[in-house]
This record gives sequence, structure tokens and C-alpha cells, in this order.
Amino acid sequence: MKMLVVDDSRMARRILIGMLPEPLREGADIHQGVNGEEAISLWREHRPDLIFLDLTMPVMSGFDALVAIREQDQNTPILVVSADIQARAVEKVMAGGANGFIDKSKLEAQLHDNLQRLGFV
Amino acid sequence: MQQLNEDQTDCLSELINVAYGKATARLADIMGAFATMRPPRIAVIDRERFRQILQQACLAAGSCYLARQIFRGDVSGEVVFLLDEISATNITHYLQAQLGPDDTDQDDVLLELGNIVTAAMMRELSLRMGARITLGEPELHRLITEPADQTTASGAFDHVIKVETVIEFAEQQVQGRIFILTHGHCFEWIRQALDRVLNDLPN
Amino acid sequence: MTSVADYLSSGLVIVDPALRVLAWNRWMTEHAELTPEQAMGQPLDKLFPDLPTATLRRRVKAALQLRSPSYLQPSLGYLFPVALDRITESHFAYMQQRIRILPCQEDAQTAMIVVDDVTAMREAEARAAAAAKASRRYLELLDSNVMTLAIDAEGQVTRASSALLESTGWSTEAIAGRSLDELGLGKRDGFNWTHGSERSERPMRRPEGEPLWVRVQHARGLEDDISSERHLVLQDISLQKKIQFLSERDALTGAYNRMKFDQLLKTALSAHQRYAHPFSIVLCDIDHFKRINDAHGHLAGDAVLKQFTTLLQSQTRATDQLARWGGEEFVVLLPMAELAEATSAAEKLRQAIVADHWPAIKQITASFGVAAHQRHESADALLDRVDAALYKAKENGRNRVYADETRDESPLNALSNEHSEPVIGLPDLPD
Repeated sequence: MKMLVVDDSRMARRILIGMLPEPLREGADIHQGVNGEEAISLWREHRPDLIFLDLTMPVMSGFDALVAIREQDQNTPILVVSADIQARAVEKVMAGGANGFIDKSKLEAQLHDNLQRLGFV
Repeated sequence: MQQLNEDQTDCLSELINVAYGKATARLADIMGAFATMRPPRIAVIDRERFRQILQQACLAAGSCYLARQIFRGDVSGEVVFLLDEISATNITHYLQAQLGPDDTDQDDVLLELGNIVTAAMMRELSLRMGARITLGEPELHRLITEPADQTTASGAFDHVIKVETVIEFAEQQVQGRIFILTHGHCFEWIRQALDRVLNDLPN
Repeated sequence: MTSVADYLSSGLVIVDPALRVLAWNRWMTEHAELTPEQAMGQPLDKLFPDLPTATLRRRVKAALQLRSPSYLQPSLGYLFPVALDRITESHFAYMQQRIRILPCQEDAQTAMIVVDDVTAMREAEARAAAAAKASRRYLELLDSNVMTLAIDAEGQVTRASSALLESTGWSTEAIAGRSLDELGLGKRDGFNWTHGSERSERPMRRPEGEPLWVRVQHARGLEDDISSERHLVLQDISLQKKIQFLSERDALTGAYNRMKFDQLLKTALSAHQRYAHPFSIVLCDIDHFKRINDAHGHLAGDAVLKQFTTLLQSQTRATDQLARWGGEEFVVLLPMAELAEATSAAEKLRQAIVADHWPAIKQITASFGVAAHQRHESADALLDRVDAALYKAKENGRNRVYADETRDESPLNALSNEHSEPVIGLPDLPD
């Protein structure tokens, strides 16, 4: 199982990874990136089974990376994780092809829900 | 003066990032004010540096607004939301256009903005750190540079967490700065709370 | 509403997000003059037409979403009008209200609006603001009309009033940090800070031009215990000084006039009486002055007098006092000088006059009479003697100094004894 976690904050990545159910966390190859560009190159290189993308990142935003990946890959599940949870942002992200939007302030619950819905748990 | 180590700083940063995001969402909900926000930078500074920042802000813009609210509970202190005159005027115009017919004056609008951002942020932050706090009534102060030193009556608070971000309201960028002022022993509590959060994380 | 709510001196209204009234306490009944029956179920904006409805709805929404109080500062000063019955004058016609909106603990969809009467507080604020404004205006008035200086512990200027800056031409930046001494106002230590109401007259230095004569006084009552700042009030006395100057001085030459000299002489006599201080007088007269006037005209004559004065002033000590006695006569009072000293001073003057270059007139000379004040001698007697001495100088050929060598004055020798030793009548000694 291969996962990609992309967020410019090291702590945010650590928290997300920490929140993953233990079997998932222990059993997977987790690759980390700090911006949209790295998200794309890491996806290309490793072809992960699941991608977590933060929105506000330098160099290239999560949204741009989402759109770029989706252009070539409509199948890999992508979950957007963000602190910016305004309705407009959520709509935009879902329209861009994300499989789910996780509110960082409700990380534990929403992560679990989304993983369940996608069949990883 | 105490400082946070790298891990604690990162942790606080991320917590504030999420809390601030919550605040902007509330702003959008309540005031119809759509703001995009860059991840805030945080720093721990002392009282003197805080005063310098206030003075510089006033000098640059002629005057600035402080919305202050005291908080009490597991941690006590004061939250100060700093806006320079120009940003305040811009935001107010934008908000008044959004809000419609009621005759709201600038002070009232700024207080509302300050209250929403502060309350949302502090609530989220305190939840994540396991602290119970209640906020007091917000006060709006206008600071104009004067030759005599301005005492902002925050003499007892010697540890200040500075949260700096750039908020974009309808193509206008505003430098929003929030300062969480607290005592040494409350700061210690915060540090321990951060450690607790860190300890809950694996690896 | 619970009975507790009815005992409060605040208004309590519980509303839903649409501002419909769900509860109404007694304070509201009394002040809004609406019974609970009339109010319940009604939206607030229907009950109070001037309500800032949109804003209030928003604040309620905020309180509910934030789970934290929100606040409203109505632009009218009140949420609903309550007319004030006041005997004394009031700033306000209606009760001033403070509005808080609290989320109800039990129900996430209702909020409690709390109304407090803050009229007294606002009135106090308004009075304080008015007083501060009046105070500020008064201070501005003072600042533009009274010349003041604030100095620190080292006697350096920290602030100067606008009036002072304007009168003297100093700018704030230029005067800041200057010491009192530098400005010609004396030393900080020289002022009596605890009792002082003494005033001193000083020539205050200006960045450009002549000094400004001021009277300096310590302004008491402005000190605080913490800083060692002191305040001085300055009064422009340049006009008085000018008048004083004009009244004391000869218009043409600038030397003291005769009237002033009489005063100076009196002062010298008092000094003698109190401290036995000696002094001498030199009386000098330009030789053949009328001829100069006739030959070269009055203007030339005036020029000579001016030059003469300048020369005399330059050749005498700072403490010596020069006056124009008459047309071409000058007198110098030399304090603390005995006869020998005065005589040699006169001689020096005589030589300087001869040596100086007099434009158009090739040579000027002057005659000098010198006399030293004798113990208990009167002004008149002294002047008579020096006058006689001058006469002698003229008689003996002009361009010379004649010193009256009377040592002691005794009634027996009041006349003509020019020749030195005091003559005291002694009985013949027997062999």
C-alpha cells in the first residue's frame, strides 16, 4: 500500500499520519511532499493508492496539483485536507475532482469517515 | 523569557493555522466576508518587542486599531487584534458593502470582526489544547503615535505569541496580526499542552 | 421566565435566529412598556421599528456559531427607545444601552439578549470628554501665547512652547537638547526650584540675530515626583529693555547719558559706604572740538564723537562705566581704582587718542582730569575736583592728564591744595 501526504507544514503531515488507523499507517509506504509540484512528481514516480493534499502551499497549490493529476488520472483517490473550510473552497475542490474534503479542525472524525467510505478501513 | 522548541513551535503553528482557518470560515458565514488566508507565521516575543511592533504600525499608517479581549480560565491573558488605519478603512468599506442597509459605524464593524476572529480562533485553539477559557467583552482602541510612550496596559503580560498572516479581502491584502498575551505561568501551561499533543502523535 | 430573571436590573430577552421573542423579563416589561403577552412570539423588529435588524440577526448568528458572546453598539445608543425623565440637564434624551448576546447553554438555536442601562457611564464619559477638550483648548491657547521651556535633570531643553519657538526663531529640533546656559538663561542650579518666584532678566540666545531679552521665572506646580523635569516661563521684555536703554544712553554715541551717570555715581558711593570700596573718576574733553565742527561740519563732528566713544570703550575695563557728560566731554567711572591706577588709565587713553587714525581730521587730542574719591566725600565735591583737574590740564597746554592729588579731605584744606600731602595743622613743637 502506497500513500502520498502533501502539506508544506511538517507538523500537519505528522498529525495526519499520526491519525491514520494503525494498521494502515504501519503497513504502508508513505511518501511526503511540501508543495503541488512535488505532489505531481511523487505521484508520477510512485503511483500511490491514496493521496492527501493540503490546499495552501507555496510554489504550486494543492488545487492546481489536484487538477493536474486528475487530467491524467481519474481513478486514484484524492482527499483534500485543509484548514480553509469555507463553503466556496469545498465546492471548488469537489468540482475539481477530489474524492473528499477533510476539515483539519475535525481531522480525526472526518479522516475516519472518508477512509471508510473509500474502503481503506 | 521562555521560548518554545522547534517541535512545540511547529505544533502551535499548525494549531493556530487550523484555528485561524476556522475563524475565516466563520467570517464568511456570519459577515459574508470571503477571505483567503495564507498560513500564519507565529513567533514568541516579549513585551518590549510587542510595543515596538505597535509603534511601527502606527508610524507607518498614522494610526492603528487594537481590538482587545481578555480571556480567563485554564489560561489567562489577552488577545489583541491589530489593524493599521488603512487596512481598517478598507475592510470596513468592504464589510459595510457586504452587510447592507443598517447604519453600522466603523467602530462597531471592527469590533464585530475582531470578536468573530478572536472568539473563533481562541475557541478552536483552546479545544485542541484541552483548555477551558471564557472571553471578555471586546474593546476597540485607536492608537496614534505620540511622543510619550503609549502604555497599552498590558504590563503584566510578558509572553506574547505573535500570529501574523496576510488576509485577502476582495483583492485587497490586509496584514492581520493577532497577539496572544499571557503570563509566564500560563505560557508554561501552553507549553505543556503542546507537549501533550506531541506525545499523542506516534514517532 | 424564571423569577430570578425578573429581579435583575437588566433586560433579558430570549430569541431565535429570526429574532422572535421566546422569553421576556420584568425589566423589559417595565422599560419597553410591553407585556410578555404582547411580546412573546413577535419578531423584535416588529416590536421596535428602529431596530438595527440585520446587524442584530447577524450578532445572534455569531453568538450561536461561535458559542461565545457577541456584542452590539447600536449607533443610536440604544436598541429600543426609553425616554429619560431628568431634572438636571442630560447629554442624552434616551437611555443608553449596552447589548450583549449570549448563546443559551441548553439550546443551540436560541440566544439571550441582555440589555444594560449604561446612561450614567456614558454621561460621565461625555463630561470627561468635554472637560478634556476644554482643557486641550486651554493648553493650546497657552502653548501659542506663553513662552515656556521644559528642562530635564541636566538642564537641557526637552520641550518648548510654540509661542517661544515663534518669538525666538528656534525650531523644535534645533532647541532640543540645548542647555540653559547655552541659551544664555543661566544654569539649572541657579534657580531656586522649591521656593523660587524670583525672576531674572536674561539675554536669550537666538539662532539668528540679536539675543532676546526675557524675564525668566520658574513655573511651579507642574512637577511630578517621578521625572525631574522643570518648567520655565519666559516673558519678552525686549521693549522694556529698549526703552531702558534709550533712557539711559546718549542717542548719538551709545555711551551712558548724564542722568544714568549720576545714578552710577550714587551706586558707587553706596558701595563705598557699605564696603569702603574706592573708585575714581576720569573726566575728559576733546581739544578744540568747536574747530572741528566749524572746519568739517557737524556730521564730521558727530563721527568723531562716535569714534571717540568706541575708542574709550575699547581702552577701558569691562567694569568701567563711560558716559557722555556734555557736548564733547566724557566721564569714566572706574570702580575699585585708586588714583595711580586711574591716572595711568587716563594716560593710556590719551596716547590711544593721539595714535588713532581720525579720517579727514589729521589729529585729535584730549585733555584729562583725574580724581580719586576721598573718604566720605560727596558726589558734588568729587565732581568739582575732577572738573578743576581738567581745567588745569587744559590750562597747562592740553593733550595731557592732570591728577588731583588731594589725599584727605579736611575742612582746613578744602580749597586749592593740589600738591599732595594732607596738610594737618600741627602745633609747633618746642625745641
